[in-house]
Amino acid sequence: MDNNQYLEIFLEESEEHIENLNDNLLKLEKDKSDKHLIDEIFRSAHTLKGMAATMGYEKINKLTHKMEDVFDKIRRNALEIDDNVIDILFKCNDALSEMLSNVSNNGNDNFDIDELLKLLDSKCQLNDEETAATSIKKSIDKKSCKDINVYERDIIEKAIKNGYKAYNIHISLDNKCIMKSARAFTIFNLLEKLGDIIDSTPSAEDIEDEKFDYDFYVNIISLTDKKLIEEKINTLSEIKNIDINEIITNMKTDEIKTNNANTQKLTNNKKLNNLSKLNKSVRVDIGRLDNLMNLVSELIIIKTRLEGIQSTEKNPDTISTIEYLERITTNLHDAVMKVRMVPVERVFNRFPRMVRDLSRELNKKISLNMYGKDTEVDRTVIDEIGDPLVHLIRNSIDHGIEEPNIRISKGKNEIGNIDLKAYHEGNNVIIEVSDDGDGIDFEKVKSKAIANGLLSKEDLSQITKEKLINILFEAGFSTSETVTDISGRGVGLDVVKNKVESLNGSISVKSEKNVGTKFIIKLPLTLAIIQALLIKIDNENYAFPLNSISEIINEKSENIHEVQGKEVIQYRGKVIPLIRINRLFDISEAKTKSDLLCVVIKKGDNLAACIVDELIGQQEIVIKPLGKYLRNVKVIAGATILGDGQVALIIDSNNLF
Amino acid sequence: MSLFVVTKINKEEYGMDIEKVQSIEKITKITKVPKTPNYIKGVINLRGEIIPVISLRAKLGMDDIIYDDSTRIVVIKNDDILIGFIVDSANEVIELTDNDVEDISNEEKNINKNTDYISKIGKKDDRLLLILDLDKLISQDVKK
Repeated sequence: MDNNQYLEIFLEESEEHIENLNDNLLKLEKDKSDKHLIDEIFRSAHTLKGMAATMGYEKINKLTHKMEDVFDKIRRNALEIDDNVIDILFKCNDALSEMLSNVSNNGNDNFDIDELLKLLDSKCQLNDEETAATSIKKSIDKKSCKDINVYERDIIEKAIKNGYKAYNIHISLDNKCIMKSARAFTIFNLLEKLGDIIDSTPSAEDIEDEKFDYDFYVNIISLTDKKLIEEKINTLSEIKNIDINEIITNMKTDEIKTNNANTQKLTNNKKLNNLSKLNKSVRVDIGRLDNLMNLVSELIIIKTRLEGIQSTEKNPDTISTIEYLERITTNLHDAVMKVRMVPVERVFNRFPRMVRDLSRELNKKISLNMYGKDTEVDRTVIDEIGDPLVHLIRNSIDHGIEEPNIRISKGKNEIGNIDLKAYHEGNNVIIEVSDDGDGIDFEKVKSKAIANGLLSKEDLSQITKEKLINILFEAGFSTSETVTDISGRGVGLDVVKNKVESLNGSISVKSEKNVGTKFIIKLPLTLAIIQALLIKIDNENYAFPLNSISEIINEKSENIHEVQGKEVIQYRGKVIPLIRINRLFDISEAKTKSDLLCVVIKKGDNLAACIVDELIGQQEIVIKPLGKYLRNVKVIAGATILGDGQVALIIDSNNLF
Repeated sequence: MSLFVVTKINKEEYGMDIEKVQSIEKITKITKVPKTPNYIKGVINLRGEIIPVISLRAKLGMDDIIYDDSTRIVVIKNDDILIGFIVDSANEVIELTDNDVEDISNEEKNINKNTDYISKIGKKDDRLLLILDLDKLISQDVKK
């Protein structure tokens, strides 16, 4: 079997299972009595084991097998779930994750699992109840040479719950029987009609190959009565002896059969629902999605072109047809955008575990609340937004939330809250990370800023909260006295800001002492299509991304002053630089006019005025990259194709000043 | 046996390996890109894709002339990069055997200063085809 083609599937599915295990373990920690969780956990581990065995990854197989044993004990109520057990299981999960990434990177699952195996073993050791249970089991199954394995016990228990009976049938064939396998075959046939054969000792193959003397055992589930089965088998010849024993498992008898039938149905339905949800999804190669996106982008450009033609068209039929085409194109575009959308749940999922681990490490009590997990974002955003969010949450845990006793002394609940919210607003996705902790200590920020030379003492009196917040986002800034493993190096917030801005988004902060802090990240829904302002400079078309524009003003050339050799103008009480784009771009200068049309662009808190010749209007444009050859041109962010086929360069306002 | 697209600048014929030639287009509106060397004339819209165009004249150190009906853009694909070269004309494909192609001799190197970009010389009948080293032509800029 060619493992390579299955490797991808194995990795993807294994990852999913490990994620499920993680989630369920977290849930189990909160509600230790939930039986369904244990079942699901068992199933995940079992499937993982099977997949690993098929692919030949012995270590993963071993570990999951041992985990299964522990789960089984838990399921049979022979082991109590406590924090210790859960910790061990979490460690196993982490080990599995690492082994998977080893498989992905190196092709093998090398990992030291000895310690984990020992830990798991210690939990699996037989205690008194255990031995008693197994001895009862052994006396019942005494006549079968093989213990019913866990998987089969599972089936048998379910069957019994549903009103079936399980029997162990011992058949002794007559010494004079010549064709033993044929005789066994007829017996098997008969049994199949009476119920479901679970397994046999020896195995069916061995029986076929006549690898037995004259005895064999069969485990069967059936609605038929024991006596009736015995009668039916007796109708066959060459059978010396039949011995039928009902299999009773050591389930608690107070689990009422009828109630269980109901709960069984519930869990089955839940399983079915999950299955049907699963069946409705398809794995698609990202390259194909990108291709689809490109084609649709082209379609948008043509649509814009048609809109231009339509305005000169007189024929009503043509007009309505073009309009219809436009509607369909827009719908198609929306649909393809949706295909690329992925729920943020993907990213949010790793946080509960992280919060749990960190809060234990720092001895803080923290509850992570997530809202809007189904909110969808473009898949490129998903990949990039994870790290910034990790930074923000870590900051909240490390700096924001106070220790439990401090919280109590402040009159707050001992358990700190971190809220993670995601929702759509207009054309954007908003992600909020807020905590009810200490809030940003602005006094500390001020003193650190002065110490670092970012602020002078004079600025202090004029400083606004916003400015202080911006300082927080500067590289290397941190108010921590100590550098911990988690934070304090001042590397976090500026990286967050850069990542967010590289996604064409923005980040803002609201904070109040002793109340808490809230970080708000705004991201556009699509990356390749933006709103832009089209302008003309020297008869060439250019585009400014709309979110980089603050205002459009008219200014008189007399009002231009010079400060330190650079041209500036006064704008709303501030002095901002004036940028002559045609000089910057080495385009011929138009005749000097006295009335200047300026686009005021913003870069964070800084503003600048750019002189343009003409405004064309606001338009949705598709960003096309300039390509590798021209990637060194910093002032241009890309290009777009206008409705009439002309190329307009997109100005990168961040690099203009 | 190799095929070459014959492009003309002034009276000289330059050959481009046909394997790398994507298409030959008529000259179309070029959008200037700021802050680029003078031989990069800008970008064009080629059926929905943005392609940078270089003037072969300027790159080889000659003066630019006004574009006319015979001016063409030869679109080259080199290592996944698409670039268009503006030439005076391009309307022929020549087949050359290995015999017809030789390396540049030292004399020829001295005559023509721009032999940096010429890899070999092809001779057929009475014609002289200067075969361009497309890698050198393109990669110089990318390295910047």
